Parts: sequence; structure tokens; C-alpha cells
Amino acid sequence: MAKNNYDPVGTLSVGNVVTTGTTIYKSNFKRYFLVSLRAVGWSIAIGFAAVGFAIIGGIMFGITKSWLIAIPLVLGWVAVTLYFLARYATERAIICRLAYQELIEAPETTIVATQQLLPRTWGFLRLSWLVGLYISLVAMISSFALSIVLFAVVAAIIYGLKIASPDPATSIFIGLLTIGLFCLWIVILIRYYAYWFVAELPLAVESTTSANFSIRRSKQLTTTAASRVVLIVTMAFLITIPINLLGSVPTFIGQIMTSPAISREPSAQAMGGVLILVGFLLSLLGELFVMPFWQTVKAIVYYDLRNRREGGDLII
Amino acid sequence: MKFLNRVKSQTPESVELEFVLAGIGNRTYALIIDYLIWSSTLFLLLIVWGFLATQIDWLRSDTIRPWVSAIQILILFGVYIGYFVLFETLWRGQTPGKKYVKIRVIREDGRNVGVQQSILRSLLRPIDDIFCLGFLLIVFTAQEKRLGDLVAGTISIQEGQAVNNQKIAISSAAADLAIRLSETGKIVAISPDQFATIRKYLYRYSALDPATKNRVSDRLARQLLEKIELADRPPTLDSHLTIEAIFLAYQQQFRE
Repeated sequence: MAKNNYDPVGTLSVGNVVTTGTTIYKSNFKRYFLVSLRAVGWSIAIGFAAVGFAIIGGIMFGITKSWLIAIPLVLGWVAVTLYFLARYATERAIICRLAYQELIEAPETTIVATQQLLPRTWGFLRLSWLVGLYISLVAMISSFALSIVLFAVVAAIIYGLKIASPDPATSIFIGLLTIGLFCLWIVILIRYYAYWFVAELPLAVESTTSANFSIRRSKQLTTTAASRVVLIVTMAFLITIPINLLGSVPTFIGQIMTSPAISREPSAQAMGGVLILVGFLLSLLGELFVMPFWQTVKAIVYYDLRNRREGGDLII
Repeated sequence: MKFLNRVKSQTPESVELEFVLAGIGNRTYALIIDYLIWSSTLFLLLIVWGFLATQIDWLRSDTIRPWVSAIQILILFGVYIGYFVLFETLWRGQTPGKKYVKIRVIREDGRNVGVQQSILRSLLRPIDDIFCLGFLLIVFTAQEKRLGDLVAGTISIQEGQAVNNQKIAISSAAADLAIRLSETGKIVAISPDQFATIRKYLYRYSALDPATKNRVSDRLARQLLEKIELADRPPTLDSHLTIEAIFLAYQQQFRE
């Protein structure tokens, strides 16, 4: 039987990474979805914990009439919230691990993967905190730098050309420049996001317990392939649009209906409010379905990058 | 990769072919590229049209204007549908996007698509785009067929890549070693699959991380030498050179 030899090199193309992601997710849907449910459970628990501590605080204050009671309560609330966040991050990493084990043809059950990763729970919290911090730093510094560029150009135009009131051509130029700089900012953000895209994986599958090492390794693996990762992130984002739309369309319509500029009728306001709530619930539901897909794609990117850089698959 | 869908098809001459299906990732990628080219073409046409309509006076006369509008709509419709039909027919099932991503549309029996299939696919494209119907069909059906594919009887496959041995740079010293290895070693013990791994290694050698290159070469060379029953090779032998030589020796055994 004739076959088309589509793969003489043994690495995955941008498209095939995304396709493999959908295939693995589809064939393990039930398992990944259950882990995703657990993750959402932990994030909902954070909200309940806040409410719970507030109620306890109220009761205690009523009994003791002392503000000092707030100190242990706040400390307790912070500790519980951090623990729930850590568990949330760990559940996400469990899906990465399950998908990676699938790729290296050594599948694990959810129970085994959970047992393996629970000791690293705090590592995952540290990791998600660090990655979040780095990305917000990049976002702030780059937006600051780009704003300076924009202001400098505008100032140069106004003082250099001695324009009292902006004429249409200058306005259009400044408008286009703003759009251009905004696009550049998005590109910078995605580019840096690509560096830390697989940061969870080393901590989830390698024998390290250091979040810093895991982050460094993610950067090391993606450095020579940043644009590929950017493309993969874009494609994965595009194919999750149908699910994302599910929640954002009702929210959008709801926002229009409740906006005072459109209508002030109470019935429209109420309807809009309901739509926003429905939109929120649907996007939560969407996240439940989409998150395992992203984690699977991360695992595949990591697997492919390791093969490319370290030749793990080059054995007979 | 075992995670990509495959499909078997039978040609009119009863030859059975197996294809790797294009997959949602490649198809999205190709579509984005095509839509970028296609929308900028339409945009350019509109700009040219706007320019002509404002600059040429007789185009604005009352008797000619309806005709001009009609022609304009026809041209736009022609580009709208024609882009995919033209390229898929002329380039044997490929558009610029598909060519870049290395996928192709073919008929179910493996033959090239014709104008008829292309037109059906193009006409149903808007319906596939609305509510992401095509996306859902591609992801959740075994043969990854969107509505247009179902009606036209076509499938999208990954293109076979020609194995380009010229991309593999082999040092001249390997040729001598290859002769010695084929005299002393049992090159026939290497299976085609194992040879494919050697080829992958040589393809990707330059992209490997410098820190891990030696480890990968040593491991593969040791495994190969065991295979050809030369496990007690001299330790001075360079691993990468050994693999190159085995690659050449394997190829040569079929030339003789």
C-alpha cells in the first residue's frame, strides 16, 4: 500500500501541533474534563472562602467587639486563598503531565499524576506567580516605553512644524502611529508569553522541584523557536474562538442593552443584566472546556521543542 | 505521528492509498493566510474602484452608473468565489495558503480536484464559516469533512514531502568509514524504520542544542553499532561520523 511520506524529519509543524492537541484532548476528554472541573472547583472555593471568612469575622466581631480579631482572620484567609490558588495551578499542571505522558507513550492515570504532582503544589503557585509577575512587568515597561515614543513623536510634530491646530493629515498620521504602536505592544506581549508558554512542563514532568529552574528551562527551549510558538498560540486561540464566543456574545449584547445611551427602560436594563450573567456563566463553562485544550497544546509544544533541541526521539 | 487522522482511499485503478488528513490546525493556518491575501485583494479592488469612480467623469453619468455598479458587483463576486476555484483548479487542489502549509484538496479516490468540486466547495464556504459549522465538522468527523467537502466528495490531506537527501550534509571522511563498516559490520541488520531514524538525526543534527549534541550522537551510534554487531568499536571513533558512515553504507548496499 502506498503512503504519503509526510514526515521525513519527525518534528511537528505549527498546524500539526494544534491538530494533535485536539486529537489528544478528544480521546481523553472525560479524564481531562474531570481535572478541569476540579480546577474550577478550587477557583470557586476561593470565592467561598472569602465569603466564609467575612461571615466568621462578622460573628466574631459581634461577640468580642474588638478589631484585633481581624488579624488572625485575615492571615487565615490569605493562607487558605494561597493554598486554593496553589491547588488550582497544580490541577492545570496535571493535565499538562497527562498529555505529555500520552505523547511519550507512557500514559498515566489521573490518580498517579496527581500523586506525583501534589508534593510540588507550592512550586506551581510560585511558578504561576512568577510568570504572572514577569508578564505584567513586560506589559508595563513596554507600554511605558511605547507611550514615550508616541509622545515624543507628537511633541516633535507640534513643535517642529509649529502647528497651532492639528490638520487632518497630521491627525491621521498620529492615529495610524498609535494603532501601529498598539499592534507592536501586542506582538511584544505574545512574544514574551511565548518564552514562558511551557513553563509548567519542566516542573510537571522533569525531576526538578524548582519553579525558577522550570521558568529558565522554558525560556531556553523556546528561545530559538519563539516565532513558531507565537504562531501556535495564535492558531490555538483562533480555533477556541467558537467556544469563547459562547460567553462573550451574550455579555456584549447585555452590555449594549444596559448602556444608558441605548435605552433607559427598566425591562431592557433587567434583560441586559440577565444576559451579562448568562454570558459570565457561559464563559466560565467555556473556560472549563478550553483550559484542558491549552494545557494539552503546551505539553505538545514542550514535547516537540525537546525533540528538536535534545533529540529525545532519535533512538532506535 | 499517530495522533493525526489517516484515511484509506481506492483509486479508479484499484490501487489503495493511505493519506494523512490535513487536520484542523493546518487548515486553520492555511485559511488565515488565504483570507489575508484574499481580503487585501478585495480591499485593493475597492480602492481602485473608488479612485476611478471619483476621477473619471463619464462613469458617473446616469445611463452608465447602473451598468458600472453591476460590473463592479460581478467582479467582486468573481474574486470572492474565484480565488479558491482558480487556485484549487490550476494548482491541483492548492491555494497560496494551502501551498505554504503543505496541504492539498483531493477527491475521495485520490484524483485531483476539478472545477466542479472547487466550485461546490467555494459556494458552501460561507455556510461552513457561519456558526463555525465547518470547524465543528472537521474536528468531530472521522474524515474531517466540512459541508463543502461532503457535497463535493473531497478530502484535505497533508502533502507528501519529498525526501531531500541533499539537505543532509555528510563529511567526506564518512565515505571511507562507510566502506570499512560495510565490510566488517552487518549493515543488513538495520531495518528501514531504523534507517528513517538515522535520516531524521542527520536532518536535524544542526538544529540540536550544542550542549546535548554529543549525548544524542553517542547514544544513537552505540545503539547502531550494537545492531550491526560491531559493539566493540574503538573508543576513538567519532560518534557523528559513525552515524554518517552507517547512513551511507545502508544506502550503498542497495546500489550494488
